[in-house]
Amino acid sequence: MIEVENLTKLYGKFKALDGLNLEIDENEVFGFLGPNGAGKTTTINLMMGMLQPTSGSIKIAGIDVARNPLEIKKLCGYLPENVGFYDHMTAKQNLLYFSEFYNIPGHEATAIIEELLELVGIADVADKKVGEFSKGMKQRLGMAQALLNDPKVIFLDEPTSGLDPQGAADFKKIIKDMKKEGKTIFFSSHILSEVREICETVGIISRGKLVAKGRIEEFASQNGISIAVETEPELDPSILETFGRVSMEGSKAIVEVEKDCRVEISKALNERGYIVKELHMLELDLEEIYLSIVQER
Amino acid sequence: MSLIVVAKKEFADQITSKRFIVILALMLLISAFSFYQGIDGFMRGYRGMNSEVRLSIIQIFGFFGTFGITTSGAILGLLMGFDLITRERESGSLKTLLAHPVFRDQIINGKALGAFAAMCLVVVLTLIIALGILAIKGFIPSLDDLIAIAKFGLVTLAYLFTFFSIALFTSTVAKNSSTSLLVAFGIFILLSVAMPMLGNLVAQAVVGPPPNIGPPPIPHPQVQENPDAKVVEIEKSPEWQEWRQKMEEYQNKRRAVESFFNIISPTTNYRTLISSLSERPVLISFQSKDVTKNLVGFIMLPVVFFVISYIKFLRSEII
Repeated sequence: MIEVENLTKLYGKFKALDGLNLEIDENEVFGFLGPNGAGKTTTINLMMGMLQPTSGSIKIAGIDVARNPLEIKKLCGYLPENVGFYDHMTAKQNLLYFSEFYNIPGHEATAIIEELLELVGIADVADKKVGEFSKGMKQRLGMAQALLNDPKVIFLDEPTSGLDPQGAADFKKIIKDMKKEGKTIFFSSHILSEVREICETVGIISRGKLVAKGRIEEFASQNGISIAVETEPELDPSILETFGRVSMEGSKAIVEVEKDCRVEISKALNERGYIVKELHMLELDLEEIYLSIVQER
Repeated sequence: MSLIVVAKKEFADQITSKRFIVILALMLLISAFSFYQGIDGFMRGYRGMNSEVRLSIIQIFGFFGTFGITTSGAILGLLMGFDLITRERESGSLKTLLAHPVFRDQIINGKALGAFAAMCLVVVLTLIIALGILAIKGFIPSLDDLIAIAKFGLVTLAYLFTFFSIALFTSTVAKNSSTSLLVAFGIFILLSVAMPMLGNLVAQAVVGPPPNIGPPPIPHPQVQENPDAKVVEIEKSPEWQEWRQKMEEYQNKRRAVESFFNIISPTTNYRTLISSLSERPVLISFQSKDVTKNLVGFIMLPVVFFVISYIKFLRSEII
């Protein structure tokens, strides 16, 4: 659905993006991670046709973004970071204004807007001026405007920043529902637990370069699996050395393995008369993977 | 289509904004007050000079209309445009807007079109109020008057748009609204006050003081006794002709120097053009009949500011 080839963006002498290559399949929820200033927002702005690349190309659904920015905007929805609105207008008026760019007939637009405001949980303040909104309410309205044209691809730039836990949970549910509807979602976030919960694939960007991309499970296996074991009576570590390198953390043994071999370990311990108190996998979490990759650069 | 969508919103935003309503009300009050207060005195003076020449309504418009419009109109134009782009950048609404299918040129053109429509409303209201007051005072405009008033309206509209385009320019280049407002007012003072003053000083330095030819010849006692009779005859007298010729030579020299500075002063150009609309100059003595330079300067200034704003807005990186 999204193909990015050798994308470079310069701001004066500063290279915000440096030969970025990326492919995202249709109906994929893609998490885009990276430290501040890594080039996440620039990438999204280029994908939305809001900036011109210095070199390289982007195609969304086969459409060249630089040549047909208007077609792309009809096809995509975008929730920018720190989304802004016209403060003197109500939530409904803001959305009605944006809907006019899609030539949606008035009565139809009103129905869509009411539905969207209900979806994002601010139907009760539809006629309140946006200037009186909290950051979280603006964020919810931002999500509604991103979905206004029933887009095939949705770009979300730090969508849950400023939301309370309930708001963040609501957003995650909306994103999951959008996925079920067949939409492709490009999700940039700093909250790694959120990315892990929502996204199937992840890309990590650092200093304008994509430094890693893949499914979250693949990242975990690439970075090694450990199994924690605790028994009664206390374990003799040499028993587990056939499975991998063993280290002891108090009464607990940590075995670094190449694949999940909990069944084999359990059998070996039972055969030797040990009672297993604890036996579980210790995967590196996304945060550790992310930090290890970013710090390497 | 998107252009019209933006223009419609801009027009609605302009005419419902508090500052627009306040400045418009002030402008209409000043214009109405100027017309109402001044018209009787103006007529008496004019009729006292020569009752044979029909009083042209445009002369009344030119004299009293420009009095209220030159300052309040300029302020209105500046206030309508100074935060047009900066406010949208500051609030983040520009980025949200650009996420929807609209080109940047449609945004800036739409904003200018909406503001222009609001300015048309201002001018029409001013003309209606002025005509209403004239009608109360017993003046019914002829077709020629109406044509001249329409020209007055067009020049006034262009004058308002000039200051709007200056403010749009500062709004496009400034980082925030307060800087934009300061720079816009700075340009206003530079063009409307400083440049004509500078022109005056330079002209005085270059051309020197007026020729020592004394005051204009006093009308003959016979004529003074019968004022209705004959200003025209005085003007034909050789003394008057000589005085006028010398003064015109001096003024021509001064004007040549001053015009170099005044050509970029919208206020001076506006007054010159309005004055040229009537048969007799009402605002500027010894005015040249050729106002081409003023017209070119008057039109070029907003065009230049708008084109720079347009290019700058299209090229800016909105991130």
